[in-house]
Amino acid sequence: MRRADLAQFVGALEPPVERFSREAGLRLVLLINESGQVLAQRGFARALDVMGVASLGAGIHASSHALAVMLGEGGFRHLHQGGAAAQVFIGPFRTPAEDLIAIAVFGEDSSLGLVQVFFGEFVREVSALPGWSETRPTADARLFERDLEAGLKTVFGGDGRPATGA
Amino acid sequence: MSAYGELLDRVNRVPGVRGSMVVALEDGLIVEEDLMVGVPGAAVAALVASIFRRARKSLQGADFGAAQLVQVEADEGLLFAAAPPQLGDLLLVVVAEGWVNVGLVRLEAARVVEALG
Repeated sequence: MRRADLAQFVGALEPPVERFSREAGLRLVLLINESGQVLAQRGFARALDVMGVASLGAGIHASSHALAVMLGEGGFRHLHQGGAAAQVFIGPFRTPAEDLIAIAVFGEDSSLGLVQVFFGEFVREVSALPGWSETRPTADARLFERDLEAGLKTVFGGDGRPATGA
Repeated sequence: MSAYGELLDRVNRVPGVRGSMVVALEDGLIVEEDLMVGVPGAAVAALVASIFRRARKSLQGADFGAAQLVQVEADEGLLFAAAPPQLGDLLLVVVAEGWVNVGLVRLEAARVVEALG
Protein backbone atom coordinates (compact mmCIF):
# COMPACT_ATOMS: atom_id res chain seq x y z
CA MET A 1 0.00 0.00 0.00
CA ARG A 2 1.32 3.41 -0.87
CA ARG A 3 1.01 6.56 1.17
CA ALA A 4 -1.64 7.97 -1.14
CA ASP A 5 -3.81 4.88 -0.63
CA LEU A 6 -3.86 5.32 3.12
CA ALA A 7 -6.98 7.46 3.01
CA GLN A 8 -8.98 4.48 1.72
CA PHE A 9 -7.77 2.46 4.68
CA VAL A 10 -8.61 4.93 7.44
CA GLY A 11 -11.99 3.34 8.28
CA ALA A 12 -10.30 0.07 9.21
CA LEU A 13 -8.15 1.88 11.76
CA GLU A 14 -11.12 3.18 13.78
CA PRO A 15 -12.00 -0.05 15.69
CA PRO A 16 -8.44 -0.64 17.00
CA VAL A 17 -8.19 3.02 18.01
CA GLU A 18 -11.54 2.80 19.80
CA ARG A 19 -10.43 -0.38 21.62
CA PHE A 20 -7.08 1.12 22.60
CA SER A 21 -8.85 4.20 23.96
CA ARG A 22 -11.41 2.21 25.95
CA GLU A 23 -9.13 -0.46 27.38
CA ALA A 24 -6.30 1.87 28.35
CA GLY A 25 -8.70 4.46 29.79
CA LEU A 26 -7.51 7.25 27.51
CA ARG A 27 -9.02 10.71 27.37
CA LEU A 28 -7.80 11.42 23.85
CA VAL A 29 -6.04 9.39 21.23
CA LEU A 30 -4.77 10.36 17.82
CA LEU A 31 -3.18 8.22 15.13
CA ILE A 32 -1.04 10.12 12.65
CA ASN A 33 1.68 9.41 10.16
CA GLU A 34 5.12 10.96 10.33
CA SER A 35 4.08 13.95 8.28
CA GLY A 36 1.28 14.75 10.74
CA GLN A 37 -1.61 13.48 8.59
CA VAL A 38 -4.47 12.40 10.85
CA LEU A 39 -5.63 8.82 10.28
CA ALA A 40 -7.91 8.28 13.27
CA GLN A 41 -8.87 10.01 16.48
CA ARG A 42 -11.06 9.56 19.52
CA GLY A 43 -12.07 12.03 22.21
CA PHE A 44 -11.42 15.30 20.38
CA ALA A 45 -14.36 17.68 20.15
CA ARG A 46 -12.92 20.18 17.68
CA ALA A 47 -11.03 19.73 14.42
CA LEU A 48 -8.73 22.57 15.42
CA ASP A 49 -7.53 20.66 18.48
CA VAL A 50 -6.87 17.58 16.36
CA MET A 51 -4.73 19.50 13.91
CA GLY A 52 -2.79 21.21 16.70
CA VAL A 53 -2.05 18.00 18.56
CA ALA A 54 -1.22 16.17 15.32
CA SER A 55 1.30 18.75 14.17
CA LEU A 56 2.86 19.15 17.62
CA GLY A 57 3.02 15.37 18.08
CA ALA A 58 4.69 14.89 14.71
CA GLY A 59 7.16 17.64 15.56
CA ILE A 60 7.98 16.15 18.97
CA HIS A 61 8.43 12.72 17.40
CA ALA A 62 10.71 14.12 14.67
CA SER A 63 12.92 15.99 17.14
CA SER A 64 13.13 13.10 19.61
CA HIS A 65 13.94 10.73 16.77
CA ALA A 66 16.76 13.05 15.71
CA LEU A 67 18.03 13.06 19.30
CA ALA A 68 17.86 9.26 19.41
CA VAL A 69 19.91 9.05 16.20
CA MET A 70 22.49 11.43 17.69
CA LEU A 71 22.76 9.07 20.67
CA GLY A 72 23.27 6.10 18.36
CA GLU A 73 19.78 4.71 18.75
CA GLY A 74 17.52 3.79 15.84
CA GLY A 75 14.74 5.65 17.62
CA PHE A 76 13.02 5.74 20.98
CA ARG A 77 10.31 3.20 21.71
CA HIS A 78 7.99 5.82 23.12
CA LEU A 79 7.89 9.18 24.85
CA HIS A 80 6.04 10.01 28.01
CA GLN A 81 5.36 13.35 29.67
CA GLY A 82 3.64 13.35 33.03
CA GLY A 83 1.65 16.28 34.33
CA ALA A 84 -0.44 16.87 37.43
CA ALA A 85 -3.77 16.14 35.76
CA ALA A 86 -2.88 14.81 32.33
CA GLN A 87 -0.10 12.73 30.84
CA VAL A 88 0.95 12.28 27.23
CA PHE A 89 2.26 9.11 25.61
CA ILE A 90 3.70 9.24 22.10
CA GLY A 91 4.31 5.82 20.59
CA PRO A 92 5.72 5.38 17.09
CA PHE A 93 5.39 2.05 15.33
CA ARG A 94 6.05 0.51 11.95
CA THR A 95 3.48 -0.82 9.51
CA PRO A 96 4.04 -2.33 6.08
CA ALA A 97 2.95 1.00 4.55
CA GLU A 98 4.79 3.52 6.68
CA ASP A 99 5.64 4.51 10.21
CA LEU A 100 2.69 5.70 12.27
CA ILE A 101 2.53 7.55 15.59
CA ALA A 102 -0.08 7.14 18.32
CA ILE A 103 -0.54 10.12 20.62
CA ALA A 104 -2.46 9.24 23.77
CA VAL A 105 -3.58 11.57 26.54
CA PHE A 106 -4.62 10.02 29.84
CA GLY A 107 -5.33 11.10 33.40
CA GLU A 108 -5.51 9.53 36.83
CA ASP A 109 -7.95 6.86 35.64
CA SER A 110 -5.10 5.19 33.78
CA SER A 111 -1.34 4.79 34.11
CA LEU A 112 1.74 4.63 31.94
CA GLY A 113 1.95 0.88 32.54
CA LEU A 114 -1.59 0.31 31.33
CA VAL A 115 -1.07 2.51 28.28
CA GLN A 116 2.12 0.63 27.42
CA VAL A 117 0.42 -2.75 27.70
CA PHE A 118 -2.55 -1.81 25.56
CA PHE A 119 -0.37 0.12 23.10
CA GLY A 120 1.43 -3.18 22.44
CA GLU A 121 -1.89 -4.86 21.67
CA PHE A 122 -2.96 -1.91 19.52
CA VAL A 123 0.21 -2.11 17.45
CA ARG A 124 -0.26 -5.85 16.90
CA GLU A 125 -3.89 -5.31 15.89
CA VAL A 126 -3.15 -2.48 13.47
CA SER A 127 -0.18 -4.28 11.93
CA ALA A 128 -2.34 -7.36 11.33
CA LEU A 129 -5.02 -5.48 9.38
CA PRO A 130 -5.38 -7.14 5.98
CA GLY A 131 -5.34 -3.84 4.09
CA TRP A 132 -1.60 -3.40 4.59
CA SER A 133 -0.77 -6.31 2.34
CA GLU A 134 -2.92 -5.14 -0.55
CA THR A 135 -0.92 -3.66 -3.36
CA ARG A 136 -2.63 -1.14 -5.55
CA PRO A 137 -0.50 -0.52 -8.62
CA THR A 138 -0.95 2.85 -10.27
CA ALA A 139 -3.31 2.15 -13.14
CA ASP A 140 -3.77 5.43 -14.92
CA ALA A 141 -2.46 8.94 -15.26
CA ARG A 142 -4.96 10.37 -12.76
CA LEU A 143 -3.86 7.96 -10.01
CA PHE A 144 -0.23 8.54 -10.85
CA GLU A 145 -0.76 12.29 -10.52
CA ARG A 146 -2.55 11.83 -7.18
CA ASP A 147 0.34 9.75 -5.82
CA LEU A 148 2.83 12.28 -7.06
CA GLU A 149 0.88 15.10 -5.46
CA ALA A 150 0.68 13.22 -2.16
CA GLY A 151 4.44 12.77 -2.25
CA LEU A 152 5.03 16.43 -2.99
CA LYS A 153 2.73 17.45 -0.19
CA THR A 154 4.68 15.26 2.18
CA VAL A 155 7.96 16.79 1.12
CA PHE A 156 6.95 20.42 0.79
CA GLY A 157 3.60 20.65 2.61
CA GLY A 158 0.61 22.78 1.57
CA ASP A 159 0.03 22.87 -2.18
CA GLY A 160 3.06 20.85 -3.07
CA ARG A 161 5.15 23.86 -4.06
CA PRO A 162 8.42 24.47 -2.26
CA ALA A 163 8.33 27.51 -0.01
CA THR A 164 10.14 30.57 -1.34
CA GLY A 165 12.02 33.18 0.64
CA ALA A 166 13.64 32.89 4.04
CA MET B 1 21.07 -8.30 45.12
CA SER B 2 19.00 -5.21 45.99
CA ALA B 3 16.77 -5.00 49.06
CA TYR B 4 13.76 -5.50 46.80
CA GLY B 5 15.43 -8.48 45.19
CA GLU B 6 15.85 -10.14 48.59
CA LEU B 7 12.20 -9.44 49.34
CA LEU B 8 11.07 -11.11 46.15
CA ASP B 9 13.45 -14.02 46.59
CA ARG B 10 12.00 -14.84 50.01
CA VAL B 11 8.40 -14.50 48.88
CA ASN B 12 9.10 -16.74 45.89
CA ARG B 13 10.27 -19.55 48.18
CA VAL B 14 6.70 -20.12 49.32
CA PRO B 15 5.39 -23.21 47.48
CA GLY B 16 2.95 -22.29 44.69
CA VAL B 17 4.29 -18.79 44.10
CA ARG B 18 5.05 -18.25 40.40
CA GLY B 19 6.77 -14.95 40.90
CA SER B 20 6.61 -11.57 42.52
CA MET B 21 7.25 -7.96 41.64
CA VAL B 22 7.71 -4.56 43.18
CA VAL B 23 5.52 -2.21 41.14
CA ALA B 24 5.11 1.56 41.10
CA LEU B 25 1.55 2.11 42.26
CA GLU B 26 0.81 5.24 40.24
CA ASP B 27 2.55 4.21 37.00
CA GLY B 28 1.90 0.48 37.07
CA LEU B 29 5.51 -0.05 35.97
CA ILE B 30 7.80 -2.78 37.29
CA VAL B 31 10.56 -1.64 39.63
CA GLU B 32 11.96 -5.11 40.31
CA GLU B 33 10.71 -8.52 39.27
CA ASP B 34 11.44 -12.18 39.82
CA LEU B 35 8.97 -14.17 37.75
CA MET B 36 8.77 -17.62 36.23
CA VAL B 37 9.02 -17.84 32.47
CA GLY B 38 5.64 -17.24 30.85
CA VAL B 39 4.22 -14.87 33.45
CA PRO B 40 3.33 -11.64 31.60
CA GLY B 41 4.91 -9.31 34.13
CA ALA B 42 4.27 -5.94 32.50
CA ALA B 43 0.59 -6.64 31.91
CA VAL B 44 0.03 -8.07 35.39
CA ALA B 45 1.85 -5.14 37.00
CA ALA B 46 -0.16 -2.53 35.10
CA LEU B 47 -3.51 -4.21 35.69
CA VAL B 48 -2.96 -5.05 39.36
CA ALA B 49 -1.80 -1.49 40.06
CA SER B 50 -4.93 -0.23 38.33
CA ILE B 51 -7.15 -2.52 40.44
CA PHE B 52 -5.35 -1.41 43.58
CA ARG B 53 -5.76 2.30 42.77
CA ARG B 54 -9.50 1.78 42.27
CA ALA B 55 -9.81 -0.22 45.48
CA ARG B 56 -7.93 2.49 47.32
CA LYS B 57 -10.27 5.14 45.95
CA SER B 58 -13.32 3.09 47.00
CA LEU B 59 -12.01 2.57 50.51
CA GLN B 60 -11.14 6.24 50.87
CA GLY B 61 -14.64 7.10 49.65
CA ALA B 62 -16.08 4.87 52.37
CA ASP B 63 -13.81 6.47 55.00
CA PHE B 64 -12.13 3.15 55.68
CA GLY B 65 -8.62 4.56 55.53
CA ALA B 66 -5.74 3.45 53.32
CA ALA B 67 -6.00 0.25 51.30
CA GLN B 68 -3.40 -2.27 52.39
CA LEU B 69 -4.13 -5.44 50.52
CA VAL B 70 -5.95 -6.62 47.42
CA GLN B 71 -6.35 -10.28 46.54
CA VAL B 72 -7.92 -11.59 43.35
CA GLU B 73 -8.60 -15.30 43.09
CA ALA B 74 -9.43 -17.41 40.05
CA ASP B 75 -9.65 -21.13 39.37
CA GLU B 76 -6.14 -21.31 37.96
CA GLY B 77 -4.34 -18.75 40.05
CA LEU B 78 -4.19 -15.90 42.44
CA LEU B 79 -2.95 -12.33 42.40
CA PHE B 80 -1.99 -10.62 45.59
CA ALA B 81 -1.00 -6.97 46.00
CA ALA B 82 0.09 -5.31 49.20
CA ALA B 83 1.01 -1.69 49.87
CA PRO B 84 2.83 -1.65 53.19
CA PRO B 85 3.88 1.82 54.39
CA GLN B 86 7.54 0.70 54.31
CA LEU B 87 7.36 0.50 50.51
CA GLY B 88 6.06 4.06 50.06
CA ASP B 89 4.33 4.36 46.68
CA LEU B 90 5.29 0.82 45.71
CA LEU B 91 3.24 -2.34 45.63
CA LEU B 92 4.36 -5.87 46.33
CA VAL B 93 2.60 -8.04 43.74
CA VAL B 94 2.61 -11.84 44.00
CA VAL B 95 1.47 -14.19 41.23
CA ALA B 96 0.66 -17.67 42.53
CA GLU B 97 -1.08 -20.93 41.77
CA GLY B 98 -4.67 -21.24 43.01
CA TRP B 99 -3.65 -23.74 45.68
CA VAL B 100 -1.02 -21.52 47.31
CA ASN B 101 -1.17 -20.98 51.04
CA VAL B 102 -2.11 -17.29 51.02
CA GLY B 103 -1.54 -16.95 54.73
CA LEU B 104 2.03 -18.08 54.29
CA VAL B 105 2.59 -15.63 51.41
CA ARG B 106 1.22 -12.79 53.50
CA LEU B 107 3.28 -13.79 56.51
CA GLU B 108 6.49 -14.05 54.52
CA ALA B 109 5.80 -10.74 52.76
CA ALA B 110 5.06 -9.03 56.07
CA ARG B 111 8.27 -10.36 57.62
CA VAL B 112 10.46 -9.17 54.81
CA VAL B 113 8.73 -5.82 54.48
CA GLU B 114 9.18 -5.29 58.19
CA ALA B 115 12.87 -6.02 57.79
CA LEU B 116 13.04 -3.44 54.97
CA GLY B 117 11.52 -0.70 57.12
